[in-house]
Amino acid sequence: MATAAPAARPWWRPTYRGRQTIEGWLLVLPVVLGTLVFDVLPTLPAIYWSFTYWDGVTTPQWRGIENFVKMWDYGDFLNSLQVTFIFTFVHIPLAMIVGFALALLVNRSLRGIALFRALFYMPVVSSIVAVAIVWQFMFSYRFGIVNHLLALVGISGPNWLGDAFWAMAVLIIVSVWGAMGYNMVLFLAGLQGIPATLYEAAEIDGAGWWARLRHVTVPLLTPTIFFILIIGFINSFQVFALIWVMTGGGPGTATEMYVFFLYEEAFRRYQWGLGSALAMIGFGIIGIVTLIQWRLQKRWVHYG
Amino acid sequence: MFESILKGFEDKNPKIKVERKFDPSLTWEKIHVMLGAGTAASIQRANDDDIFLLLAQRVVTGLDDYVKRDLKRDDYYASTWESRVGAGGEIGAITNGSSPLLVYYNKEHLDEAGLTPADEWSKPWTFEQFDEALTKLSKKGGGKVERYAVAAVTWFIQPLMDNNGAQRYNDDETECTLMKTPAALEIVTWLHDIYAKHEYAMPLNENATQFFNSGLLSMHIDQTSFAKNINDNVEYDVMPIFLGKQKNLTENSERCFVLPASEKNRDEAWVLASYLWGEDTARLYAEYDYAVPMLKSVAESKEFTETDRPPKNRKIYGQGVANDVLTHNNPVGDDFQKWFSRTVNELTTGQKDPKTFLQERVDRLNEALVATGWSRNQGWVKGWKPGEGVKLLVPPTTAPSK
Repeated sequence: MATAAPAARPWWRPTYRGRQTIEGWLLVLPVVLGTLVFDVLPTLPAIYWSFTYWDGVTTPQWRGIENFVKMWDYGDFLNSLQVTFIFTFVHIPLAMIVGFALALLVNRSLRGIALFRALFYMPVVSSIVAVAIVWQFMFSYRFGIVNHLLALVGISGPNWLGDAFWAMAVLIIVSVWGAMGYNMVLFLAGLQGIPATLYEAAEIDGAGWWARLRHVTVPLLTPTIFFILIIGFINSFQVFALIWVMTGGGPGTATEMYVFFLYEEAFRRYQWGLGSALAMIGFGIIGIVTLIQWRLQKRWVHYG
Repeated sequence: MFESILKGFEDKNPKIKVERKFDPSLTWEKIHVMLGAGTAASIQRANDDDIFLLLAQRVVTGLDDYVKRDLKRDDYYASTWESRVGAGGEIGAITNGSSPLLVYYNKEHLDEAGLTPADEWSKPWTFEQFDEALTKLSKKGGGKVERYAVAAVTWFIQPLMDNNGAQRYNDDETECTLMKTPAALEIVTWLHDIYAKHEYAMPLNENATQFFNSGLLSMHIDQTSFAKNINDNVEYDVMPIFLGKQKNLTENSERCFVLPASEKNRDEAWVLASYLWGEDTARLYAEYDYAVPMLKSVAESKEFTETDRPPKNRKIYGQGVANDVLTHNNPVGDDFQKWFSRTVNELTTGQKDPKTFLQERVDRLNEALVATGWSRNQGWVKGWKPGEGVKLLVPPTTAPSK
């Protein structure tokens, strides 16, 4: 029986695999274009400006690496890095622990548990400015409710926002309060993804609550912990609105975090070139830390 | 209020139509960029602290020729022409309103303490009287402050130093000389003590409006705009800044408009600018209590000084404007603001002792002065246009603005 040979594929028609690739790119094109246009492209002139002296109005003047050298002479630059790292290294673990604890608490089938989950999540969706103003009142030295409650138990509260140490503590407290709901939701999703059979097996082997937490829950939550670490570091490095409203970077420069310092230099002192250079440095720091975290994840993150 | 001003202008100038652009999202920084980009309005509200820089960057028009032709300088308070100016004294802004720092006080508290407030700028409280008032007005109970005697805005430290005889710069403004005489350290020490040692003054991070309205604060040193935040049930009035060792000047915050350098219809824009400086606008400023008009005849008129609106002693408003310490217009103006005003809480919370606080700031200012290469006499501003400097629009005055 004679059979006809299949017609040769025209050169312009993609293969099946090629078609799949094209379809994939078409689907992600809106996001890719948006990221390119609104995130990547605006960064390119900023890279150029970081090598110039520019006040934002007159023509930028090429200065080579002067901005990158000059910033190290600024006591405020090093101060802002120090303040930011202190904030980051205290805030992230605390927010994680609180979020995890909340997730454990709300990870049960109880009537009304959804209400608690929503309440704990509310700080995440609240206006940061409104939150900062309310907390500012609460931490008022003389008549704030925090010092009032402390006085009831015989403790004389400090001038929270007027003391370098306590102002940072307040910012960390407010940030943890703001982030705990977000972390809770992530941990909750992670907890609900852990097969119950693993806990049953552990129970059969005689593992108590703490042992199950250490040897089953936490290892299987390492992908979530990893994600929170990455996002937490990036967000901590970009805190601005809270500082602006609550402390203005004060007292003195005690809470002048990196982005706040960048804003002051770029937009208050009209040093846009230096501001761009600071932004590049900040980008570099975040990038390097993220890369290090990414490389180290192989050692401690367990994916199902 | 601005709608009323512009309507009045259009009625008197039917051939000129003014397009209004009210944008609540505008910030000073955005306006600055708009001026540079040439997208600002023909008459643009601008930050009074930026006028020097805007002139140096040549993005606003100097107004000297227009003013010389159309206005009488003596009709206005001197700071109109001396405060917001460029390197050579050139007028960079339509400064038609001002808000001086004054002492708002709770009448009941002062009566209770047996204190007689000053009611004329020429007869202020002496420094000793003010100091004594702090001890009498402050109340403590169980080791805690129950009522603060005074609160002040952060930039009050500037006229405070000046009034005590502190010299900010040498004649050429190439060096910060605050540590060269004891005056600055003396007054900064006093300031430190009233906050950190005696707790007479309310911490800067607390809310003065809230405290004043609640009767927990007796005196508040603030701009005229503070009056709008005082509750009706508080009996208050206003008095001049107390006398330092040498003077009792105050610091003004001006309401400024600029004519962008990019503006093509400059002459028409000037017609509006001169109207903003005129009597009709001044009367509306007075009626709405937007600011103290710079036009003396309105600021000192009975319609402004003897109204039913509190405070009663409103003649102090115009007297305050007339006694402006005058801003130092130089490239390190913002540095001065940052280091002496925005971070003064390092001193008031006791985290830095007065000498360290002052010395650090003097050192920083001197670094900044060297970096810009600024010289009052030469008018050279390195950093804005390296290799070229700034061409003065008018020759340097023999009595440079201080």
